[in-house]
Amino acid sequence: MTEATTPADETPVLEVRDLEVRFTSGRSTVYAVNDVSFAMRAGETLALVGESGSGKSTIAKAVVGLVGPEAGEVLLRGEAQAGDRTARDRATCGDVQMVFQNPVGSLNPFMTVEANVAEPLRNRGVAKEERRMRVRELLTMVGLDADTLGPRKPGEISGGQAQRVSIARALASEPAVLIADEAVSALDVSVQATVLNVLRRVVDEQDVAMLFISHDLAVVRNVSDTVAVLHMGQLCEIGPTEDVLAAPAHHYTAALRAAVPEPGVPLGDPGMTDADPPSPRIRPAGCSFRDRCLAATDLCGAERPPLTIAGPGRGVACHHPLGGAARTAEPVDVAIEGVLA
Amino acid sequence: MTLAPEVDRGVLAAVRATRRRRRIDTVATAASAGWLILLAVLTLVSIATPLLDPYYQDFLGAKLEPSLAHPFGTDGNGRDVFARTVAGAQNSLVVAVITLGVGAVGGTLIGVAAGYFRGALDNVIGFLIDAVLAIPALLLIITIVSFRGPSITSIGTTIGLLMIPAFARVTRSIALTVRERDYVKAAVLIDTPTPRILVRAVLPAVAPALVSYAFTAMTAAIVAEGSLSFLGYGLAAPAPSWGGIIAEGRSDLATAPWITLAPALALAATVMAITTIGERAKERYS
Repeated sequence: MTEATTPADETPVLEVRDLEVRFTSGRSTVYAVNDVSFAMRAGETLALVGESGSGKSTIAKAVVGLVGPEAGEVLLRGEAQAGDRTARDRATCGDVQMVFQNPVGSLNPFMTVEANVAEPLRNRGVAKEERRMRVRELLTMVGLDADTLGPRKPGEISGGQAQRVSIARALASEPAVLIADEAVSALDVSVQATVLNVLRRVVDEQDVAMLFISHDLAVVRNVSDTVAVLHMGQLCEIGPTEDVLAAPAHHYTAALRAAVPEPGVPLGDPGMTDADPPSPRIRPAGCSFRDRCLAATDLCGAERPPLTIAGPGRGVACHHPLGGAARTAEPVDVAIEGVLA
Repeated sequence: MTLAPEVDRGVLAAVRATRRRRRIDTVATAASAGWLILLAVLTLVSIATPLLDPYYQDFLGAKLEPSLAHPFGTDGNGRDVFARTVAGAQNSLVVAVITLGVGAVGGTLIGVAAGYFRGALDNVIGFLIDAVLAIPALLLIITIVSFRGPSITSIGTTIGLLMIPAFARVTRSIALTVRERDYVKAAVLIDTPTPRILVRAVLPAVAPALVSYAFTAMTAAIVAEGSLSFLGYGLAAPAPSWGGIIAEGRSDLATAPWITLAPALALAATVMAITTIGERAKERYS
């Protein structure tokens, strides 16, 4: 991204550049995230989708600084962040907050709901009276009654309520980026809608950037502006959610979309071989999807497809993209800028 | 909806069995609590009044059989075994409490630190624990007590130090799992200071296991003190402790078995009572 094309106020709130994360235990290494880049602006929701083990949650952990990257950078408002959270500037630490998958499990079971929400304020030295008022505001913001739910313990409230308490706690830090890691996956479908609406309202009203991690395309379509599809730690495709889901350019995106069940409609052919995904313990040489892809050629095994422009605001990493998207040898950064434009 | 009669009967039998078990549990718990309360009351009486003097010797009345005047009889020096058993309870239990305090506090600090911080600290602590466990406990206690003299505090702290590894292992394993919980990660993300995370998030999670293990450790401490005194490395004579009285009565076992039996039964009853109540506490927590 160059200064000329990006005015100061257009600096992304969060930018991830060429991120690589590995986990080593003993002699074996898992290549969890390979060369992933994306950027987000305030008020925007980016969804990370992909199957289990595709590296979605690892990216989230790298962004908040719970795992250190092997290579690449995480930038907040244009400033590079240390890989280890403890080495980060305390002032910007609270800028990224997270809502976890397990609603009840992410709240301290030994504290009341109020105390859980007040904890970030307490840590920043907010006085007791003001804390109480803020907690009340925050709980109201997520649609909960502070009087009835506040004094309860997390074990005494429902999953949907707990998830909204979690959101309230995250907002107490006034974050610039909110990460929702499978935040509605553990909830009943009827409760999902309530929590999703709260998240959407938060993004609009608080002007935060939301990184929404999910494996559920139906939910992703509902909540996100941009979608990034991951497979085995590699970015397959990125672009406006509607466009990408309507006409996928990557074969993996197409397979994911075909696997979404809709009432009364038989499931489509996923367009995928039965092969298992490749082992994450081997650093992929070519395209990580090639073994499962029906369109794979020798080129796919030999050379990793770069992220290239595949339409307005869209990037795809595929040697043989769907829909005859014009392949130009544009560098990765330009593709991301296209997404932002 | 009506069930088939045989099903009905099966269900009824199961219900009855559960009720019977519960009734037995209740009786056992009440008896255990009653015993411990009785022990406490007698101890207070012996401290507050001269009615039960464990040191009063009546050489004309040595090795008297249990009677109204001497409910547990008298020992070889004509001392009242009941008075000595009650006074022994005080010493034995104080040693057990000191042991527990040293073992539980030290073990929890070390175990939680190792489990939460992992890394080099965990490795060093693990090595030290293995090293302590490799030393024969009895030998170490006898050596330390020989150097420091047999006092309530020296015996209590020494057995306590040897209990640290067990407490450390129990608490470490829980701290290890708790640190991976989302609520601990969330606490890190909202910049909760580490000491506060340990106190508000990790310790409460460790507490139930700690409490239930503390009951087991308490009984072990009572038995350990008894064994030490029996071997002659407990409190110095004539100070009474259960193990000490048992040892004193050993030579008269054939002629005056009550000298040994009374403190032995008291020790056994106390250990059983603490175990029973510990089981109850465990059920209540889990």
